[in-house]
Amino acid sequence: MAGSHPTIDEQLDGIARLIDRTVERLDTDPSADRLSAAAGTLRRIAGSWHAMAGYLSWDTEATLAVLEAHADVLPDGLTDRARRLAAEPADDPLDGRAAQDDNLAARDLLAEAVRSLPDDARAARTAFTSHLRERIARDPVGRPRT
Amino acid sequence: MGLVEHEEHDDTGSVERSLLGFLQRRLPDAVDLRLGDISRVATGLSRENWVFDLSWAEREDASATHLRPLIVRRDPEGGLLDTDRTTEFGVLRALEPTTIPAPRALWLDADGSELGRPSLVMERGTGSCDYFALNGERPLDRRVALAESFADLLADIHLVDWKALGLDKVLTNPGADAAQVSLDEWSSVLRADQVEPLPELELMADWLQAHVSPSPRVVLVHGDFKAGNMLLDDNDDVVLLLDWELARLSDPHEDIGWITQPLRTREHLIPGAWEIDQLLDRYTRRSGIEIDAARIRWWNVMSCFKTAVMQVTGLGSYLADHTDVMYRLTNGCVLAAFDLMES
Repeated sequence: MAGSHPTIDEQLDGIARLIDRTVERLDTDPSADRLSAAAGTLRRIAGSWHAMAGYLSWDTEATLAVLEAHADVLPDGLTDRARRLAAEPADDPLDGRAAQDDNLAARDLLAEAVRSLPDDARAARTAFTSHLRERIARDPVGRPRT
Repeated sequence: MGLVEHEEHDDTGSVERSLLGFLQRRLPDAVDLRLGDISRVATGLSRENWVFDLSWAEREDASATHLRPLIVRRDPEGGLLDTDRTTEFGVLRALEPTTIPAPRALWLDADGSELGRPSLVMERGTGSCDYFALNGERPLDRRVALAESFADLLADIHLVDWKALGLDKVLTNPGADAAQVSLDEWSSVLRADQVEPLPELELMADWLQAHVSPSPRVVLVHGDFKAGNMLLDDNDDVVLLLDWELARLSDPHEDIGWITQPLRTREHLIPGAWEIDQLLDRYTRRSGIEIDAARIRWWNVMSCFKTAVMQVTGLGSYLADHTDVMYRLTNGCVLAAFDLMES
């Protein structure tokens, strides 16, 4: 790419604009709803793509930290796997796909941890819920576009 | 947004041809059978709905003509819910002798061998549908009266003598285990349909399992009771209550929990005029069924869990290219459940 423009945002906005114009001409055609939703998706991506790798890396780290903090109520094997994942960060911190894979692995461990909790592990349940609330609060997709 | 499938599967011509054959086989003495004004309607997220006017003459007396507005509900290729048309047909047929304004079901293609996918044909009612009728443009007194009539209708459904109607031959009676059965069923759907680990839903299921309790009684529940599933006439009377696909024998708190969940307050409550206490008071006076706050909370969380699982099912359908609608687990649904669990 010889210049910096069109940026990713500009390209996504341009496609969404094109879809909007098409929708205006469709009037009551049922396809209009679907295309409007597609334009909305493109705008959502435009508002969040740049923050996703950092967000996923934060969530992976925080998920593994909360698992470590409550290792005393978790099965040893699960804790070992969480520690191995924490010890092997992605080679390239800007690699979005690697960040996504690591995040899926961390969330898989958290899901398994919830299923394995003893009935009286109240502090762990509270901490896991609190972490997932924080994850939602930081979700770039849900934040207003700047 | 109401259409959940690909455009190429919506071919009106092929639906019309298969419907004509289907209806001719159900009405062997009819001649000059015609489908007028067939179109797919953009209502309902779970089924594919086609409306049309069926006209025909009688073979023995060609001057005796008939015109019937009908609707066919066909399973989509994919979407939010996987329910059984045979069961829905059985529920509607069982409700026919009652005063419950359920649509009259006429014919069933149980396995989809005639209409492409499992479908049922019903009489079509006239009236208007307004999801947010309680918070729309009607004057407040009319909205409150409407809310009272909704509470009365829900009570009447719960008072249906389901044994006398034979509904226990159509639906499973879970007895006192209604809550556990519901949790198990929706957990199974989650396990079957989820495409990624979801610790949020694991926490919901964990809380539900820890707080499950025996159900005090079994009633017929609608499963998706809301103004968006009703047709109202000009006097605001409920002409039809639609979408019985989630109907089941269960705890009455299931419907109460569904309509009082935080995600649906705009559909069921009127701030300052029709709050939960007023709704429950009206319902209890009409039905005589005592409602328990702890059970409502359990079914509120269960309602969020069900909604979340439907979103997961929808996402799976989207990823499998069975629907164009990009469903996703919503943050609002998760937060509503967390708030209830920690309240």
